[in-house]
Amino acid sequence: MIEIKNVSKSYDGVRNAVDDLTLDIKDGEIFGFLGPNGAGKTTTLKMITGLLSLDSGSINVNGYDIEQSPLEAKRRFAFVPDNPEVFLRLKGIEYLRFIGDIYGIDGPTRESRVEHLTHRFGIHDVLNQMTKTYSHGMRQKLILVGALLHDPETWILDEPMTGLDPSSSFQLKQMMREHADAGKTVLFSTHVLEVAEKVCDRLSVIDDGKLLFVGTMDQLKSRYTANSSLESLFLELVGQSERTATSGNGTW
Amino acid sequence: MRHYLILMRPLWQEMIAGFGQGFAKISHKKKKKTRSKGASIALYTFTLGILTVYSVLYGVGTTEMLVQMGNVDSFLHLVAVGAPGMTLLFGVMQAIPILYHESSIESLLVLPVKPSVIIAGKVTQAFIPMLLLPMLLFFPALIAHGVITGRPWAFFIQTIPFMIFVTFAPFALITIFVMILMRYTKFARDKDRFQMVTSIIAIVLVLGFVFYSSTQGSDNGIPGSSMFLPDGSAPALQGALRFMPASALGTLMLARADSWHTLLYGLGAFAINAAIFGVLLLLSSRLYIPGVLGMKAAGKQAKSLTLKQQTRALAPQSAYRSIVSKEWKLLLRTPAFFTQTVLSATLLPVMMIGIIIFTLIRMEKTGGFDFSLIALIRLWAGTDLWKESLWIIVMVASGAAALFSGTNMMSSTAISRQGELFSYSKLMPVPIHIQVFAWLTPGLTTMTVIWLILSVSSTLFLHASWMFGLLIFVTAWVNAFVIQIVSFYADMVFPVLDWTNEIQAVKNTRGAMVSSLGMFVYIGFVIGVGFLAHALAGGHSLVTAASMFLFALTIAIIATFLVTQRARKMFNVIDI
Repeated sequence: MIEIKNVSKSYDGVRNAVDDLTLDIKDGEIFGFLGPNGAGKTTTLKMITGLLSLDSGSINVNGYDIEQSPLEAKRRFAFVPDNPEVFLRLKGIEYLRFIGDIYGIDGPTRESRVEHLTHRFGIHDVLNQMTKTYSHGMRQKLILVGALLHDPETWILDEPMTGLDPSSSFQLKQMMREHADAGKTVLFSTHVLEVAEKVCDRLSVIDDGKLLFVGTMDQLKSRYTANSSLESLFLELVGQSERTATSGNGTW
Repeated sequence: MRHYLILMRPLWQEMIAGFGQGFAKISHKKKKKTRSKGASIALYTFTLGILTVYSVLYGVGTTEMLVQMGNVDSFLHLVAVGAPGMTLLFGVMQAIPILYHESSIESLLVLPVKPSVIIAGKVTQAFIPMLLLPMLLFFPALIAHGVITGRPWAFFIQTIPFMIFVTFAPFALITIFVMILMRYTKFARDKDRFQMVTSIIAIVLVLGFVFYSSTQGSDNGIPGSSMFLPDGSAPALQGALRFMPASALGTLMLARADSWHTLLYGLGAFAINAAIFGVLLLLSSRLYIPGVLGMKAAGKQAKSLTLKQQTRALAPQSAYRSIVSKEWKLLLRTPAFFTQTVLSATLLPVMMIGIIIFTLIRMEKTGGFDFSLIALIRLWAGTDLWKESLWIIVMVASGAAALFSGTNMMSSTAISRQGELFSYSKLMPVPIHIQVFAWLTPGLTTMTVIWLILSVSSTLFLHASWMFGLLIFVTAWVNAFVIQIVSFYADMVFPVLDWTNEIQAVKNTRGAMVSSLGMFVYIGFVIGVGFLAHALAGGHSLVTAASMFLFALTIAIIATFLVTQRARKMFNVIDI
């Protein structure tokens, strides 16, 4: 469960990258976070995970305030960034050991989860190689395995499908579904509207730091033209936001 | 030329950013940024000022010595050989990462400009920062030399082209050499291995040269002075200049600054530099781009792990040990990190001790004493006589410890080395004090091991009491700790996390500056405190020694307190 209350963030002290955002992401759902480039998606995810400080507002992850009790909060979520940066001169297995140690995972559990996850994502055979020899997709998979190693209650994924091959992408979507069905939380941002449409239980659209929509796909469709694709709804929504910003009045 | 100037715009920005990039990442708020810039300028001004003072002192000391010997031009020979030597050393380390390892190279290669334009831009980008060090070390010394020896005004004007002439030609040559290796050898294309091996060879060669020069002739304590014969001539330097035409002509240009011949020599030095630059550009179109495109990431296909190996490789350990282990692996496996931290930290003490032992043995054999010098020192250390010189021992141990610790930049770059991956530190559910301790561990461990070895071996060699060894160890450890913790604090406040090649993380940071230059300031303070206390205490050795020790201890405690305070809020102020 993630609770975001009146969160704002500005990089330059003038313009808000995230502007008074309030959002509740419940247990047992896959929540999609959509928006055009520079909308504030990554900034929001980084604030949820404690990578960026908040200018105002508060964020609770599984009941722990990320600024007041950061360690408790961090133990309970996994974050996969949009850019698969890993320690290039560590071997895959060394990276996973490092993550296992940091999260205090006992030996038998980490062994079985490494075995299971690396086979599922097809990177088991390269674990003995340095990660600098990995392709973009392989690094993404390694980070995913590392993130899921401690079986976190909440998954926070920033563009997780980027660089994944179709098989791994399918595996990840399936795992996201299993995780949500087990009563846990998945929050992910994406540009791939088809993925959001197929996977998300609820979704939100953000643009220019402001929340434009929160709800189910059906609710979104009912607000706009029935039977529209998510793509046309998205464009309509964002287009309206731009017009509103240009005219300088009117809000959602 | 137009394309070159356009290309230089972003490259120039990168160069500048290499010196000041840490601040933007610390906070994005305008007010904080302004404060950081002010602090940065103050820090740079202070350290540059200190370095200039040292350079001037060096210039004055050497020139006065040469005036007495009656051969003042030998100073020019020293600079004309020293600056290119420095260029060769740092040129290799600067050229490889900037020409081949920058993450932005690919974005340049796709531009519709001639390869020679790209190489000219990249060479400029590599050369200017590299020029700074010999410039800082030798330029003020040259000016001081000119003033003392009453050189004509043309001398002072020509010192600037002189510094460029004597550094650019060797830099261009070393760049050509690097490009040939990158283009035609498989060895060089394993970039980590190549960078590691060339850096080690370069450092060993230079240290070997320093060792050689320090064991020649008599030494009065001024670096390089042992190369001069009693008449002030320096055959080794003059011999070296035969192979360095740009330096030789540059030297003549300065030496003959009072006649029109200086123009001829200047033109000659310029022509040599221009010719080498022309060759560099000509070859670059054949060597550079194919070399870059032919590069591959290091690492061979490794065998898959067996279940047993996998179990062993995943064996649990504490978060602290895991972070320390990761730090050591990255230090040892990353060429730029290894050469700037582990290698320099271990080579300098070894070389210094080697020089002392060699000098002692040489003096024993050829010093013309009718007694054994080593036996005399052993007598001094083995009885209570050393206690009378307690303050000298503390002063020497403090200075040596600060010097060795300053070249060991493990702690001073501990945070900057994380780069963008500092995000892991923020994401980890590991208390900050554990992470800070883990970051400091490699530097402190190295210093502890080095001083343990030095204290024990000097005690055994001198047949001294263990109290003598303990005194050296404790004094040295506290002073080494001061440099490590102060420079670590500087890195905490001004981390550079958005570097594009690894060398930036260990060379251009405030922490690295505080470590490598600030140690001279600190050594100056320790000596100052020592002499002040000695004067105030009426020459009482114990009081003087205690004053110096307490001075170091106080700074260590204050710096530790500041680090713990900063650690509490570090994750809040560093956004990534």
